[in-house]
Amino acid sequence: MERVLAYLQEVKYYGKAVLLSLEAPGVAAEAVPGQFVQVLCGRDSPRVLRRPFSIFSAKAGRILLLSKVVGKGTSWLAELKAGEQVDLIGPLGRGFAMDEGDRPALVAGGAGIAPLHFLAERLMERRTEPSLYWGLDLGEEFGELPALLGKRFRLFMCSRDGCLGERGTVVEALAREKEPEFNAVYACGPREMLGALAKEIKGANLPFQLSLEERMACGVGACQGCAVPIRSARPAYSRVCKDGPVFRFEEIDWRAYFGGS
Amino acid sequence: MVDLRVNLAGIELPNPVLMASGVFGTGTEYRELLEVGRLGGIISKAVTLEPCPGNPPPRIWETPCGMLNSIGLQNKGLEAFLEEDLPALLSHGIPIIANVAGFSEEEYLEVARRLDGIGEIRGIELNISCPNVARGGIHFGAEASSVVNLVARVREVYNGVLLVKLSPQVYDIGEIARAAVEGGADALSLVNTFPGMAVDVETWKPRLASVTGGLSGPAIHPLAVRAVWEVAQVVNRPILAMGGISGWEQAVEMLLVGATAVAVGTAIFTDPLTPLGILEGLENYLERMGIASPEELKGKIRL
Repeated sequence: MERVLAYLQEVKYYGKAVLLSLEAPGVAAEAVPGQFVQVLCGRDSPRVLRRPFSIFSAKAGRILLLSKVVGKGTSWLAELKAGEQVDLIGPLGRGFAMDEGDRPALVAGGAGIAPLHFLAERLMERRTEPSLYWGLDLGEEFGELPALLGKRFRLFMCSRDGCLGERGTVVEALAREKEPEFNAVYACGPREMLGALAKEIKGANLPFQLSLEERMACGVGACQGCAVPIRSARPAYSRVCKDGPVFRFEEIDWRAYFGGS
Repeated sequence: MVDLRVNLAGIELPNPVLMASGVFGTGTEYRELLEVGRLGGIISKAVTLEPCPGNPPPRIWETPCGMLNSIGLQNKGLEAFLEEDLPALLSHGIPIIANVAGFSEEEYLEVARRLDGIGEIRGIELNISCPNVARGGIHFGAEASSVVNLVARVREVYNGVLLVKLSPQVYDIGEIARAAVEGGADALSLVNTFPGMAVDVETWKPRLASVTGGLSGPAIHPLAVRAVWEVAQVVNRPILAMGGISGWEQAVEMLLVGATAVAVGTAIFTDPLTPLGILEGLENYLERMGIASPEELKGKIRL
């Protein structure tokens, strides 16, 4: 973990998202899929809390971050120009365990593609070819990015509006596979998607890891802000930033997780 | 030459910039981001007698120039604190103050009793101001009579330096401060967070699962300065000031209105180097002003 002022080398726009390429050799060398960085958004009067971004890719001294523009922090990021500096801390958290199965399914919802893209790259380097399922609300949300990923990975797209790939959710698409091709599942996406996915594959008894999101303050495990309920005899919480963001399915108290908000 | 050492009610601090309770863990979490050993001290996360799971998430919401939190005193309990956290806190070689909380008077007393005589802990900060629990916390700190009573009972069982951390959410904070001193407080810590609330206008739900939380960060700084100023007028005890301190200027403001030392909270999330930046800024400022010690600034506001 380190705090760096990383030079922004390139900004690419994909639909409503932006892909930032940042020069951060230390972070890039250390990072494993599923880990994240905490980005300080805003320069002269920065946001009080840093924004966590899962690492989209890390190689050759650079990290890539994918951001959808959702609020003030992310719109600041989207307006950055190459050559500017970004204050970030990372890599943070616990990443994915990668030796779970030789036919993994990677299931992403929206910007949840970021850690799974990094995972897919690292799995390919290990000669494990994953199946990547990526669901979007709107087919155009990520512009050309799905098409680009489709050239590099075995990618199944779906969109709720039906404008890209199959119409419907990524979990519905996965469920339609009569004989599942996969023997491990990795997922990242909105709460509803993770819930539907958990229901769908509950009985299959597959290794299942998920990267979770929560509002975060310190990012390093000190403040207990980003709590996630875990299975335990008494109510108990783990920290998304330090104990996660990647958890095993069986670690989470799902009833509390969905009841909690 | 500037000498940054200060004496807080008998606690010799290497400098007047500490880390506030609840933001810094055991300090080891931040070890790769700043030289923890250069800080003036660390106030631990609140310790309760039994392990406390804390509140359901979401516990955090950013607000303009601040944040709301409702952690709910999550901690491992006294036993694990002594076994696991205390050695980690002490590993930095700087003064450690334990923040003590409880859900009943007996719990406060038991924790204080057990910490009494542990010489490595330089003092306790009695947390009668947590806004995020249904019992205990702020409910002990809202009325002068209950403050006198609780502090006096803790005083009977705890012989080390006793700080009492006050809530700003009272009608007359000076009166509460006087009550803490009457009970036997050696020093006062202020302010804890202000009760606050935020609502998601799309879902019509509160931003925090526990509905309300504590507001901290630069937004509350002027409110905290005023509270420290009020208290400094009416009690003759050292004050450890916190509330939105994110730069050396805010630290100096606190000293000028009567604080002996300051603690950094939320600002560590924005920039982990904040406390060291404050330290450098303070040193430069004192040099520039030709002042030898931060204690010489104490209460020097010109009215």
